[in-house]
Amino acid sequence: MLKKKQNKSYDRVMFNLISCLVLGILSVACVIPFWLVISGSLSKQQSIQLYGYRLIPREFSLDAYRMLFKIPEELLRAYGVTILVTVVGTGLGLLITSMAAYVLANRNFRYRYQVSFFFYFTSIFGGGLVPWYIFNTKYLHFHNNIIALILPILVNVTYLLILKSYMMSIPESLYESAYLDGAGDLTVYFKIALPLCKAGLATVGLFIALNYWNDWYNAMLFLDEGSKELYPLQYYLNNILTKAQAMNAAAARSGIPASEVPGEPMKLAMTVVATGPIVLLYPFLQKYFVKGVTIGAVKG
Amino acid sequence: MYSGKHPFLHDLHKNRTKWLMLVPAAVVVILMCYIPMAGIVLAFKEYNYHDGIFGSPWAGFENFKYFFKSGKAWLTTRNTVLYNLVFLCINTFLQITCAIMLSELAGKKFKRVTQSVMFLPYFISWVVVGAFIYNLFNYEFGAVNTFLKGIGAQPIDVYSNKRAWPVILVIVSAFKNVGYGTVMYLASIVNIDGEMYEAADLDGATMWQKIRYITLPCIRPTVVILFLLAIGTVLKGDFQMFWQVTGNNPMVLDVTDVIDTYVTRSLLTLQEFGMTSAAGLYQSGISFILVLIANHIVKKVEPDYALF
Amino acid sequence: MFSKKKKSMSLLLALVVLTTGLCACGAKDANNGGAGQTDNTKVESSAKEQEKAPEETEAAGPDISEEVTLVMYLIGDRPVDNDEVFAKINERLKAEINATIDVKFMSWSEYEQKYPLIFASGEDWDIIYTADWCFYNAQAAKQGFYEITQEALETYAPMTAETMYPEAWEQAKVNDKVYMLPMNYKEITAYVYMARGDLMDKYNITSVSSLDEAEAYMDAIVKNEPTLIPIDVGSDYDKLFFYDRMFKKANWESEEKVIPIGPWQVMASVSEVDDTVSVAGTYDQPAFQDVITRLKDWKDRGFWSKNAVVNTQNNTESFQAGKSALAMMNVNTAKSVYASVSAEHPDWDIRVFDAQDGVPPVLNSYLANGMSIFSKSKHPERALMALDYLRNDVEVNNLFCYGIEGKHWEAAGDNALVSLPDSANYAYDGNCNWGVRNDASWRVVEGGIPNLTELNQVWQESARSERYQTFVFNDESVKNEIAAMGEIFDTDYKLLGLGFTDDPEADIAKLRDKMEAAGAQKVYDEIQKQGLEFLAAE
Repeated sequence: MLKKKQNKSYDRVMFNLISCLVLGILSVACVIPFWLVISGSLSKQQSIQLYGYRLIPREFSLDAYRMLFKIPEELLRAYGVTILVTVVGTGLGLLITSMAAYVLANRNFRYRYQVSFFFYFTSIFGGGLVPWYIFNTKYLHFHNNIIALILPILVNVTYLLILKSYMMSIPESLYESAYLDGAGDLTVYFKIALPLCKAGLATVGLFIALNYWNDWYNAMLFLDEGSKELYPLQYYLNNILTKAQAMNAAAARSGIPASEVPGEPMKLAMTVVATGPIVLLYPFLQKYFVKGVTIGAVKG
Repeated sequence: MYSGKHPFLHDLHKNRTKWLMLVPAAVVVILMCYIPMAGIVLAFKEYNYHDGIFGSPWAGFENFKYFFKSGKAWLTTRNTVLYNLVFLCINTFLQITCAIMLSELAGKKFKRVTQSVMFLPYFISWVVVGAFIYNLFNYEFGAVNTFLKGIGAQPIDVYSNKRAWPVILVIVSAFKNVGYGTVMYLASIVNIDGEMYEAADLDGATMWQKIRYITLPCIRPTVVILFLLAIGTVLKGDFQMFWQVTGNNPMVLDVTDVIDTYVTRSLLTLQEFGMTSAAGLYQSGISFILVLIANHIVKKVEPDYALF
Repeated sequence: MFSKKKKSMSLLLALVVLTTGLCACGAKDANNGGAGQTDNTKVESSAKEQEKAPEETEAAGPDISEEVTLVMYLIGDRPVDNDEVFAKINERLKAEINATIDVKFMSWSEYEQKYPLIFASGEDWDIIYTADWCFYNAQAAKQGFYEITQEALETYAPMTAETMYPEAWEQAKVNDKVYMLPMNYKEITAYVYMARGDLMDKYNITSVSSLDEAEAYMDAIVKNEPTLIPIDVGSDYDKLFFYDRMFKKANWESEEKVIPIGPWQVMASVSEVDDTVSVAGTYDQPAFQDVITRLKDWKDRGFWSKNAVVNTQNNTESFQAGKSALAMMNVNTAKSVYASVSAEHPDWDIRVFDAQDGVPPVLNSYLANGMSIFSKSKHPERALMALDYLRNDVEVNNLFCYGIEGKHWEAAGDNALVSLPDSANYAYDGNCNWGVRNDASWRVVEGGIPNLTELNQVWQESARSERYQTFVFNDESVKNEIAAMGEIFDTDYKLLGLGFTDDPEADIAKLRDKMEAAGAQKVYDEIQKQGLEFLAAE
């Protein structure tokens, strides 16, 4: 009740005004480029080449989308692969990461600095692409294996350490009383750490999900044409573009004039097609980003 | 009962649940990072397929030479570090500001929309950003010059202007990263105990005071850890951004060339794994020293905030 | 007609297999002394083979009892009808050498990354497309390829041994060993201008076939057509087009006949008439400064964009889009651009002109396309046999290069073909078949550029080989320097080559200093040393 009264006070109003203004400007700055992407994806290739990107398509055309949706079942399949990989990878990654973060955040754990170092070290030193690739293909047999889309980005040490810092901000007293009640680590982890760290989990989960969603690099490295059915969305879309352009160039070599591939609009349409579903995930997560909810809830 | 044993073994037994909880992450890291890490020796090898990584003849420091040869080592190292530090400071400031505003804002719908919208740039690839920049600043057809000519002003040539590029890079970096980073601070703010604010309200604290004395101190651990993590990548940096946004423009390389772009340009046709590896090792080595120093300082002041 | 040809061909093949196969044993015995000798014998061997053949009739062909599947990597995207074409190829290969080929593709957008990786990984494959621009030297130096010895060639690829151009074989040597079967195809690269006829008529320009005429045309455009850029060069593909034209012309007309030598990044040049092979940086050649000054003048007059150095679109794309009035390209590209532009914009009335400006076109390196065998291939001999068929067997070669006769193409005389509508699914010369191009069975597409025959005639007559055409530089000892210089080439040199300089003299001096700091002299000395060896060996 008290809070409501405060809300109306002068500085609240001022703060809201300034916030709305700043966030509003930033939002517009973020929306305009994306608007350009959408508008460009609906333009003719030639009008982009001649007149650049415009807020309203100069010559409207659905060619880019027509090319991408040419074989709908393949596109759906690629969506399916990406969703599967994202769901499995995010779930598993979040579990593994948060377990480790829980232990490292625990002040009673004597070796937490050493173990943190063990993890952190890998984010500075790496063997480079070639040794990594050799090991993955020769010994782990990642070739044309869906695991190659999951395992390489399953644990991100940066996220692990960020999650650790979130967990450390949970008041220690809450853990202590649970331990005194005789709860084991697993109980404390599931019953206290996870519920209290929802915002942190949502953040890291979102980041992991985005990494999976946007990953085409591992697909490029480990999948070849033989396993088309494993192509994730981003890689699949890319392939359509290069393939269309290659076919076109080839046709021209034969002396057969072919209609131009809408390369530019296709690149933009790819952004639109690949962004769509994942952008819907974020509003869904937003309920975890409301201030002052979590701790009060547990205490109450 | 276990008191006679080595303290580590003792701990392994006493905290076995905790150790077991670490195992999955450790296994992934060992498989994906530690085992391939042996490949670092490539930096000192003259690699051939027949003998493999470990069997190839040693090359000493031969693979490092090219990097220092053309006198660009210092320039690119300086640029890399400076850009990363500036990005870090500006982006962190913007991210924290946005996070605080979003967390305190009253209007729910507005909040939702802005929050989602700020994530959109993350999905626009650097290739597309680069194309937009080119479209904006192209001398003959660019939007900026078309406008300038329209109002009778002199067109400007951004691509040969060394002073413009640091600014452009800072802006696009903020554009791509603010929304993404805001979430991290938002999560940190959300974790703050609500009772603290209620107590402050009872004391009649103003908005500014609450932010100054509750919010900012409470998100300090997150800020510190993100800073430390950033120090570890201060010699790397977003290759795609520099490559695509500047269009690898030779006219302004003095101010836009970073280690990764320089190495890529040098080795484009040579395909020497050893040389790539050597450049990577140089970056890692320096970063490691910097992180050790930074972490040491943090540990002295506030051990909880330290990375390791 | 075709079957007749086939019959006589296979008869011939049988003969060749017999003779060269046998000769291999003889050659081996005779040439134990020196590795370098072997190849020389090869060229003149045909005559000797005839004599030797009857003597040793007991040697059987290679053992092909085991059926194998060879994995072949090509660059590009799988053409729709690829599998159909290769089914036919495999039919024949199965019958002849008891092997079939399984084709894998590496897309253009990812081959730069994937190419070296498949050598490093434990993957099982056999044959790959390669070229001097496609990592041939790098992979050969890293022992990624199976060495093709003279004996192996004569035993397993007799047709190739017979027809291989000796200079191509010489060119393919890396440290005196051959790892590639270079294309058997003399390709000349000649450049052409493509201009808009409608604009030419508008401004009374009758021809654009020299630098001066191009200058006049572009001048008319820049003065009268504010919405057009005269020529939109600057991408990696065409950044040095005008520089090359001007520099080549100046040197061709000079006494010294300066030509480039060694890897392109090091900017080395040498005079063709100089037997001491004194190598100098192109920037130290007398013609260089004049060329850069003229380029600067053209750039200042707005002939190309002020942002040309960050251009990603090549000049033909801009031309096609109607953004520029002139395009320059090699003649092969011109054929396809002509086809699509004249169909899309008949009103432009595009015209094609010779851009050589009196400079004779040069024979391309044979290494511009070739095929190699993986050093860890389990069946290198069979792979070599398969390559032999892909290169020389008219039926297989035609299938690979043009697709199925009657479906994708139709013969038009002995040296030409007409593309059929289905060729969209398997395009003429568009399936990474370039490594097996063979003059003996080569066909060109009929139609297209109206004055092409005329132009070709001029070029064919004047085409020549440069003195160091077959010289291959071994960069082993100067890799670091090349890396450093490659970087300078990509930046400072590119700027000068597009006329981006306020003071040519000062900027050339700056370039010289940088090159010297990067170790240019060491590289040039090494090139000179190897160049002298090369001349001595001739």
